[in-house]
Amino acid sequence: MSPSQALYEPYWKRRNRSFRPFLLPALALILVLTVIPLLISLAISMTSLSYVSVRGPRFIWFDNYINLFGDPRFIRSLWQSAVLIFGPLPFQLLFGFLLAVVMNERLRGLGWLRVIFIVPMFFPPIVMGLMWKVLFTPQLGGINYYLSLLGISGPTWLADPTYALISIVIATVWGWTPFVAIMFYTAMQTFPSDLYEASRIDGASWLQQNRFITLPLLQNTALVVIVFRIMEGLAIFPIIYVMTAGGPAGSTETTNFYAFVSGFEFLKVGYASSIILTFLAILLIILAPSIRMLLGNVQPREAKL
Amino acid sequence: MNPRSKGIVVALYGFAIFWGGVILVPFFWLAALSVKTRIDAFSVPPKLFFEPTFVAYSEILRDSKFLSAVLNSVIISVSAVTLSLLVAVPAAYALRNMVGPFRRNSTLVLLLLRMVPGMVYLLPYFVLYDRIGLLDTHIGLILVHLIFNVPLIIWMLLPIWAAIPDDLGEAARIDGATLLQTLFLIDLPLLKGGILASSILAFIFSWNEFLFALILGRREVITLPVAIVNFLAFEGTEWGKIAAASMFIVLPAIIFGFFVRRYMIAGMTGGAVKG
Amino acid sequence: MTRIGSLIGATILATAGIAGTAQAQDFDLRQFEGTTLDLLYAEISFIPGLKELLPEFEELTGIHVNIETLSEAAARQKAQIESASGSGAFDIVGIQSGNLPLYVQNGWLKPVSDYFGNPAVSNPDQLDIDDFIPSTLQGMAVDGNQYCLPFFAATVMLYYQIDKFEQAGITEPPKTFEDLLDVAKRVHTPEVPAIALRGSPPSSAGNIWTFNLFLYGEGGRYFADYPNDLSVTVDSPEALSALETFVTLKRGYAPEGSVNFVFDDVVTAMQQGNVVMAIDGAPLAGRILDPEQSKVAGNLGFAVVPGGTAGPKPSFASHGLCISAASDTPDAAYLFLEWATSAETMVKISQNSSYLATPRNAVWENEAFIEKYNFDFGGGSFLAAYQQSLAVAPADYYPPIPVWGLISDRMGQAVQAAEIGQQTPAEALAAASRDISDILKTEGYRN
Repeated sequence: MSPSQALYEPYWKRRNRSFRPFLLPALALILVLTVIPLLISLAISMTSLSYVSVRGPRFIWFDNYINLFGDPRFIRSLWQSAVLIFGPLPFQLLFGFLLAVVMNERLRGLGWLRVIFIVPMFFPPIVMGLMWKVLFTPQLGGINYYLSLLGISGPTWLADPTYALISIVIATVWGWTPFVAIMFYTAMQTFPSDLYEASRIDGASWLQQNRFITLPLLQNTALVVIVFRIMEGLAIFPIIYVMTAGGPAGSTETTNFYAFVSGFEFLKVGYASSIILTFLAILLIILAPSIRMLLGNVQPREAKL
Repeated sequence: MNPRSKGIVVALYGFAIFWGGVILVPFFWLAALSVKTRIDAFSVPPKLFFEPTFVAYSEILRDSKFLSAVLNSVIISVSAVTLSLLVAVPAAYALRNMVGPFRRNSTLVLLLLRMVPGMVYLLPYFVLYDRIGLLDTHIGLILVHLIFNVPLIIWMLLPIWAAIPDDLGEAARIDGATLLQTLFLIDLPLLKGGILASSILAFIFSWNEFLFALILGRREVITLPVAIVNFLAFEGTEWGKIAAASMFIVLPAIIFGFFVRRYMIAGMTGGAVKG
Repeated sequence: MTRIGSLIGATILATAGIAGTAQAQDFDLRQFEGTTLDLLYAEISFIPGLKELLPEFEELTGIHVNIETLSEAAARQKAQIESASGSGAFDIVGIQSGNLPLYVQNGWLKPVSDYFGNPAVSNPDQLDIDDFIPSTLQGMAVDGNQYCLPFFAATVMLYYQIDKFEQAGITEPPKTFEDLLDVAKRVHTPEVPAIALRGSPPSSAGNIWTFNLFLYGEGGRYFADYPNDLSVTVDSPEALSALETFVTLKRGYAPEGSVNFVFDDVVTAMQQGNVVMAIDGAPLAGRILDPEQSKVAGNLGFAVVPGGTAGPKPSFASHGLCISAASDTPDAAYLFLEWATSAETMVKISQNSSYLATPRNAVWENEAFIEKYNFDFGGGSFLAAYQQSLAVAPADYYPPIPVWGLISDRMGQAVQAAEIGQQTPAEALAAASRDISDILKTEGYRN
């Protein structure tokens, strides 16, 4: 660009250019740290690299991807991932909402609730898994003993395919409900109080206010919660790793976990790469519409010109 | 708001206490396990009152492997946070002040790459690190943590920064201050709280990270979460030690978390929720 | 030194607790002074005792040895991926006989037999290869090459509470699967279930370790005729009968949730007296018999596991120490291996820890060893039962095929699926048979 052209350059462009050096290191670093591995992964996924095979590795284009859809274990893992990602959501939303309402009521003597919420929010996932494994193990946990005092004959939890999934759902509800509650509570702080005032004059009851004012206003927040829970739903890897290792009989094996086992246990490295990249693609397709929405929110106010 | 009926108030209190129990009982159960003997731990019905023993604690504190895991976790978390800050703060500074499509696309890229599940990167990093000799090194794990911590910090600082008026900075620049001077003398002092909070959240992320540490560590660089799993030994799972070691991971995370709880939401969602 | 001589020498050393003295060597023991060796394995008995003796080895040779132990699955995965990457980060890896074919196919190991008779590093008296129980050597060899030196001869037996048997009027331990079911029925109560069997993980580290003894005991096999005919036969009538017995025991007579029982849970259940019988590995005895940890010490009977139409086929695996092909210092590694698996070292480890699954005859005959482990509480001699089990245990308990990890996982999943009632035994086996055939085709073992 010649100096004379630069003279006519809009101010914001010049301004951008002067700030650009501050951004580039981060951008370059993150691109190098992510794009190179992604390309390596893509390349490996197009090979038959497998240490348990008697054949040497070959370049096979998309054969691994094609084989995936004939692999019942993969299909099952997708379904189980969906259960573990979406299963806890209604409970997290419901309990999170109720807890937010409790906090928002500013009842006397409940300030400790927000402090206690910190426990699950920062809990290391690996310890969360160990803790729930202890609780659900009949010899160690005592859950079934106390259920039996109530006259309930408890299930065998981690030893039963359905209850093993439920156990993990319970662990994740425990872990992330406080986060959802705080999200809702933060949003509620911004709701205009005149709306509530007006409805009160119209004779609306407390329940009606929550039902017809608070709930609808929380819609956007709920959407954000859902997107983040879907993304972070993958954080259950360490929980599964220690709680069930995908069992019993593979009933809690998520796609994430299947990729791990295929790569590091079975040494089917090419195939494992195709599993995780396919999962990533599915995830991005599901999340694409919401990512746009999130980005819209992340924009800070445009700088003054 | 409307005066609530007595029934509703009782229900709200009931629910709060119930959920407090839901959160605390499992945690206390784990804590109790750390001070039980093996026989007490396995007794049916569960023993609520027992003579506490601190054998598990004294054993892990004399276990040089465990202590080196503590040290590794501290080194990796602290370095990962420091490096992340060095890169992320200037980036957030730029993003806060830039406008137009380049800014938008950069934000998009940073955030999208943060959303990719770690498992995607795991195998290629193993292959790559093996070639360049970064397996089982602190720097290897620190670099991987940057993928997650740099966007996290940018994400968290942006809305906080955007809420601070730029009048002072603008004036300084007109007076001839360089951008770097403005950043250090005007913006950063105002951002102290936000930077501290985002650092702590990034620290907790690094502190808790398990997957990469499991595969990219070998014998020198074993972090706390991995060290704990190794107590699940083939010939005798040492639940007491596991529980005691758990306390060592959990408590710092929770204590730090306590100080940044206000910023928690922004940190996790990049201020995406504003009601 | 003769074998008898070294035996006596070892006994004296062990009982007197004197540090080992160098035997007459033709080579310089300190030729690798300053070398560091890294060893990776799971924390199974022998390893903790070996760790304690490392200073002795260092004093003798100037070689420093690091032993890295991880949980069983993590150690196996780590050893595999480190080998695959050819990093040479671990000079010595421990592996089980079931995993050896994978390592050999990929060229990850340097055979120890390369060093046999090499006067620069090997002392034939110390190696004393003929002293190893043949099946343990065989499990660590492929095509005439000895890849690893065994340190652990794993097999299983039937443990039972003597008084519970007496109360039920049972005079001798069950010999057949039918007897076992019958005994289970008679001793079972909801409070103290009849039997603990491994259920997890679904692989040879878990339920397949136990299930195969039922399979082979009934005359079942994985393949029609390995390695000539790889038709998968896990859906045979014999396999079905084996799985039905296994499932009946686990669903009707085992503790609640025992599909998740790993080795440690079986031990704990027996130790606490929470079950009447258990079938699992010998290291069980070390902890079960420790009166401080155990409620059943002094009340245990030992027997060879029951069998079916093919007789008793106790589980068998040989664990060995192997030299990584990528090691920079294989010669020093060999020197260590020979020392670590020598009769002298093993006797010491049997004394400094609860290690008794030794693959060496000299140790089995050692007086101090016999004195420490010869338990007999009126329900049969422990050492006798163990040796009988080793004698009848099939050396090829796991088919020596590199893709065994995948196959045993698939089979383990099928056994679990039947155990938790997700599938009937017949369905589970049919599906497993189909999938195992697919695995063999995909990985190129079969058309």
